[in-house]
Amino acid sequence: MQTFRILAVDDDPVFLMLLQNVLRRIGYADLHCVQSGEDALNLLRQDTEGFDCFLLDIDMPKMDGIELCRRVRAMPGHRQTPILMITAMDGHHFVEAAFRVGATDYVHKPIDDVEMRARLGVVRQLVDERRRGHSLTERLATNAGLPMLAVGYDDPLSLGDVGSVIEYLALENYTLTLGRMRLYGQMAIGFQVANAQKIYQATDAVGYVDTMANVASVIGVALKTEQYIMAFAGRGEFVAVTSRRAEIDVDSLRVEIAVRLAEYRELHVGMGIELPVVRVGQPQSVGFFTRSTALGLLERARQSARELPSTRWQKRDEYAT
Amino acid sequence: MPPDSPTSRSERGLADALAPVRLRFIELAEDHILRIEALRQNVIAGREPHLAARAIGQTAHKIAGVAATLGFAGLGKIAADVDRQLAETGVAPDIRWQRAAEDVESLLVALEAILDDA
Repeated sequence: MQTFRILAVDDDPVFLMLLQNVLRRIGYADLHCVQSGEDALNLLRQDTEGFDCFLLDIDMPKMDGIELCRRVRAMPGHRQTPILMITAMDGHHFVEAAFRVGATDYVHKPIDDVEMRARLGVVRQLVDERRRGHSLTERLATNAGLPMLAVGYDDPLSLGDVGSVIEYLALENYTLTLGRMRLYGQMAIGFQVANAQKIYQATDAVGYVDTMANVASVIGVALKTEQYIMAFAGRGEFVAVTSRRAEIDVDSLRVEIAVRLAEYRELHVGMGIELPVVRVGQPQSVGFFTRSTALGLLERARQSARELPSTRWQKRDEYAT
Repeated sequence: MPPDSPTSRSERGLADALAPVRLRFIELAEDHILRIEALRQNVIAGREPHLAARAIGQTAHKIAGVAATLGFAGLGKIAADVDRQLAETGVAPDIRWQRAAEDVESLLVALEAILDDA
């Protein structure tokens, strides 16, 4: 089994001793610890081996865990490295800020083996899948002599530097942090690039990722609010979570997205790729007394965009491409 | 539970594994007591009381982060209460302190108790 190199950052040396103990017991022995954000950044600047995961305490003096998370994410080598925030039981408002700057998940203090094993298990699976993907990429690149990226059509991709866009796993984890009241205050909107499969087949992985990132940034502008979090779920589908009070007119949103994307028509023609046609689902929310789950809400949003009947407007958009 | 049952063996193994961490935590309890008491006096005497109260909250936060895992669940609960009360937003600092003062006293008592039991 490949090693799984973890960097933990916490200003409390006793907590780091405890963490080392717990992680060793559940099979993660390659743990490195520092006691401040500054020390972590210095270590990362000099590090040549790379880390597979970060555990960052939120509540630290000087540079807190949220700022550290933002800075780690800005490092080219760690845009996708899973970051688990460590927070006190009642620190949910900090968790939300952490997700916004790129955290993948969080664990509670005081830690216990069961939660740590479960959270790190998911992260490890993600890292292993990425390693397999990179390995395939390297093989393909060697065979063809070309730079390639292995990206599956179904893969929930990380879209790099697009603002407010996080990984789909992080979006799921974020919505799971919301209590009943806060989930009630949110709505989820699904978007589907109707011709995503054609775009996927017509270009290479870099072109596909760039196109989806472009769609994400256009959706972000069209939403006309900075208070949203969005993720790409794979299969050309996006989900945005925003306040239930945001004024969203689905038709206007769809038209604005189409108009903004049309500005890239020449570029797409030049690349031989269809212009993305984006369907917008009906905003989905949960009732205060219903038993809807956070993950169910995201799925319903995606479903809504998927099942959208073809309307005159959509036909016109699709024809226009 | 029979003393040699697998569960008790595993619990004993866990306690053994955590023993060095627990020992370090107990060693630091005295520092925590002296620090919190000094800060508490600063609050009472009006010497930068808000900063002092905040520093008490940060110490309580650290204690709450490890105490329960090391077998001091009661201490962890009191520390978490102090941390929560002193970090509460939308409440005037004086009111925050009034609400937390009694729990800060309880936190000191609980820290002293683990030193007595050590």
